[in-house]
Amino acid sequence: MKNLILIFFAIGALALFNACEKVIDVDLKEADPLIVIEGNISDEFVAHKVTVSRTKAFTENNQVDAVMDAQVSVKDLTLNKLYLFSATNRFGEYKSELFKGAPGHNYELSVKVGNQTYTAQSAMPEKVFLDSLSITAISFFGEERKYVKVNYQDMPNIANQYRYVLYVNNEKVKGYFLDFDRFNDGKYVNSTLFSGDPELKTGDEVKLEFQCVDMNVYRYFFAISQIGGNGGPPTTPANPTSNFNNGALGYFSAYTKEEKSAIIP
Amino acid sequence: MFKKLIFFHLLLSLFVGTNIAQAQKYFVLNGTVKDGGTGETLIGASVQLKGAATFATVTNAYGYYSLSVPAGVYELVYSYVGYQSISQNISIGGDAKRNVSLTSANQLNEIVVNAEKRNANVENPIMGVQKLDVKEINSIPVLFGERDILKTLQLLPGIKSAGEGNSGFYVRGGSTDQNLILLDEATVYNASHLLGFFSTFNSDAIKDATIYKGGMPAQYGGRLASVLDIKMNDGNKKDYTVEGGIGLIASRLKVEGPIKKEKSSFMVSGRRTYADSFLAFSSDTSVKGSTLYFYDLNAKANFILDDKNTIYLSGYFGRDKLGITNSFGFDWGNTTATLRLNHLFSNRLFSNTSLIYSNYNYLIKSLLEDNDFNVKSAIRNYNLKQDFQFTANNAHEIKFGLNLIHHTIAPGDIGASAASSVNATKIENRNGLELAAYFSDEYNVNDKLHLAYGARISNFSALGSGTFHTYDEDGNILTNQTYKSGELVKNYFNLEPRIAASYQFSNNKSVKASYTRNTQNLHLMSNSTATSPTDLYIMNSNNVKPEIADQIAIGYFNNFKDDTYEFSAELYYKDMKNQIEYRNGTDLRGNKNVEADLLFGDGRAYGVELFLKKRFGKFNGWIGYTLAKTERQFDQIDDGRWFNAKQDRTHDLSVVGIYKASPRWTLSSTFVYNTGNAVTYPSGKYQLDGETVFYYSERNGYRTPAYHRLDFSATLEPKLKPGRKYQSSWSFGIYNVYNRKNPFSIDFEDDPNDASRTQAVQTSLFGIIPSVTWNFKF
Repeated sequence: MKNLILIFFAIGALALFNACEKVIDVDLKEADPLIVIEGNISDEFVAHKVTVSRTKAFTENNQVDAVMDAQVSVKDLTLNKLYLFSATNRFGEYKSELFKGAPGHNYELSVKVGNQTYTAQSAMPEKVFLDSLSITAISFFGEERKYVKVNYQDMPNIANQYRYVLYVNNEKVKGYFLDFDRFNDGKYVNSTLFSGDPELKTGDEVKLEFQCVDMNVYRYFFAISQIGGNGGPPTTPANPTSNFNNGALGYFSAYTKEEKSAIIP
Repeated sequence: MFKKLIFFHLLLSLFVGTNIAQAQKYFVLNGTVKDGGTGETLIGASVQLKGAATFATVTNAYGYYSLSVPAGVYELVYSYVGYQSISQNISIGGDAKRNVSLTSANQLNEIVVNAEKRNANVENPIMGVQKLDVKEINSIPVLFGERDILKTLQLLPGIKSAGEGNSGFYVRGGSTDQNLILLDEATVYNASHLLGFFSTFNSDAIKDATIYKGGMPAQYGGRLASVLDIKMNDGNKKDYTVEGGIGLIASRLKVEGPIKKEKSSFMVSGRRTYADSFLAFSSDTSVKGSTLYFYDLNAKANFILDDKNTIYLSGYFGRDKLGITNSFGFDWGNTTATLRLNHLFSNRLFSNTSLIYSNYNYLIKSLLEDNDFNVKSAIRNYNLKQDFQFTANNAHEIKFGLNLIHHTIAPGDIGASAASSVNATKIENRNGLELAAYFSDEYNVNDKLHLAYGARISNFSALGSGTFHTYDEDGNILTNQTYKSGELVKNYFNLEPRIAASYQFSNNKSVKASYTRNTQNLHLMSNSTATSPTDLYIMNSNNVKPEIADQIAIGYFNNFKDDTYEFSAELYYKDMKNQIEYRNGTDLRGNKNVEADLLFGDGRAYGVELFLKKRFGKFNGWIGYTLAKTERQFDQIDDGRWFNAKQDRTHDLSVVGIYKASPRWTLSSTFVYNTGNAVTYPSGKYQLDGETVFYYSERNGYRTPAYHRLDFSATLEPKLKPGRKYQSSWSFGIYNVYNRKNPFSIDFEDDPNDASRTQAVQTSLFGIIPSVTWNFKF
């Protein structure tokens, strides 16, 4: 539904005028570097990954300012079991031994950098299975565009949050595709992903990573997407509310994962 | 208790009034002032009795006046800006009634500069008030040539545009929802069309528009920042006329005339855009069936029943419609209806009773297969208003009244077919009952000192039915309580004192001071950088308290060169309580627990407004300048530091010039300059899952580049031929003459040509835009 509204705004705006864009110089302040943690645990049997880095100035390049000397561990609070992570490369990535997360379990990520320890908790939601992907064509003012549709049976009577990560020809599509079942609890859901860039062409391979995430993680990504205008006009930018304590940026997500691919007809 | 106080005061005033009357033999002169050509009543026309002493008043919203004066011989002068004054000798030895008609300058085809009582702006204790001249609005250049009251308003000091080409406005640091916009007394909840670029007010149908930026008279209440009181034309009581225009964006047509000559009349005015007409030429079927337009319909009728009773019936209906064949439909709009009865209880007591309905709603439809649904949302009120105006004696003009409003908000009703993946659900309606009573007295203490004081009491009851929650600091539900229909959930009582004084040093110099408290019971949730037709209204509840603003202002007013020039300087400070923001990541759409995510804080705004206007002559116009600051403070935002509100603009300058080059040509130009908006820019960045995310260190700590623009317009009036009714005129306009690329938004993103870098991209909306409009009348 939010995407529909968004498209409306785009059409309304385009029909009215031809907006003009230009790159400008803005003199931005440089905040002191802050710790950024991105932690993920899934229900797949893999080595799970935590990335620790620092913020950079806007004018610098986008390469990760890696933190190499952190102590990283994840605790399964339900089983009271600790998994240690070790640094693997120069990009600030820490990996665990092979293990499988379990839906319904609570996890706590702990990252120690210098004397400061940052922790966050995430509960892995119940697993919802991805039924299928389909491709739909929608015509907007004479131009036909193709979009991926995600089809699955939502779990009734509980709140489910979804994050869809879309890849086109193995390249991750930027932006955030999120869903929350408050409008379709217990229904068979067909959600159209209104992805703009790149446009889907016949022969493209699309892959969808289907995640069930907890509410904090859903809100974290939703807050970032709102700044860009997801769900209505763009909001005043702000840092998304992180589930880490002690002022670390980023998120820790324990999620279930499924994957399916399709070729655009 | 307070009611008693009012009645006591009223009695006292009556008593004082009769006392003087007995001593001096006072008599009442009353009547109505009208336009001689159309029979429309004139609002704010001046009535003066010049004798041993001078007595004066102005006509009210219905053209009615009443003066209490001692017996004697007087020169009676009626005057109104743009009209030829009438002066007659009158001997008062008993109560008298005089209805007069003034002749408009248009019919005389000459510039009338002999309006008396031109120093009303100096004398009137009410501050921060501006009356817009509808004729002036018509000659000021505007985007796409669509003349617009709200955009003209933005050229006045203390009133700022909500954005490029936007009809939304900010008054003295308030947000857009803190403006009370009234059309024939009915609240207009969303005063804009098509994402804010056009206002809902078709100026053909408008007779009078007055804005109060502070020092609101006690009869108005319910919003913190301003009152914009717009009144529709009553309709020509003498002749049938048809007026219209064809412009770039829209066409307009107005028909008015007598139902029964001199006794009753009607007015119907419509406007519709036709951008979508071009879609019909497309060969593509989905384009062909698409819609994109808005329309406005204003209608009014009035019936003079007898000397003492007049009935007015007026309504507005406007709607925006967007739709794509077989995919989406989205439409929204306002409906208002007002039924009024003017009644004269005596020649001293004027009464108006109004029954008012207003409604704003939107409807979204998705027709996509397996995903069909529709969302309906509405806000509406029923309003019963009783106003009295009592002429006690010439020193006191007393107004009092009652106002009972029932509010309903239907946040969202989602419907869907059984096959749809969307569940049909309904978010509970919210109901509230507002009871207000007011009393005010305009008291001329002596020739130099004028007072306007009074108070408004406002009682708001949040009513069931519904389930109401309480929340902890993080927005988790603590308790639930279910209320039956009509059951009281929470009551809020507020006393709003209003006082204003002016002291005149001389005929054309005065200082004024005022204090005003305003409260607001309805709140628009918007954290966005733009307004949207789907923005959510909420009302007071067990969690949400009324917003409160206290404003003090002082001012210096000076007219010079025989009142040709008007200068004012006003200084204000406003303190705001119970302001509302919401947490990051809050989704307002279809949210049953919006109140869980609300944050409450404070606001303050202060500034100085300078205004210099040349009022008469071939060349007239004004310069307005505002130096201002407005901030907000919320414990949960920026660690509780005060931050700039998004409407904070340090400097704001408007220059308007109108030049009557010849009897047929009028040229006009406007220039605006303002400091850029207070915005939040990143102070750092980081990578998450291969995407750049920005780090923000302070709310609204940056500024967009300054905004400035020059517009120009020229109007060609027809040659006046006696006896010819048909007239046509042309308006030509150029918006943004020097094609300034003003910032609409600035976005930060990865450089599409070099993914390893980030860049700032500025989007500008309107470059240079010419326009032409053809108007006709017969």
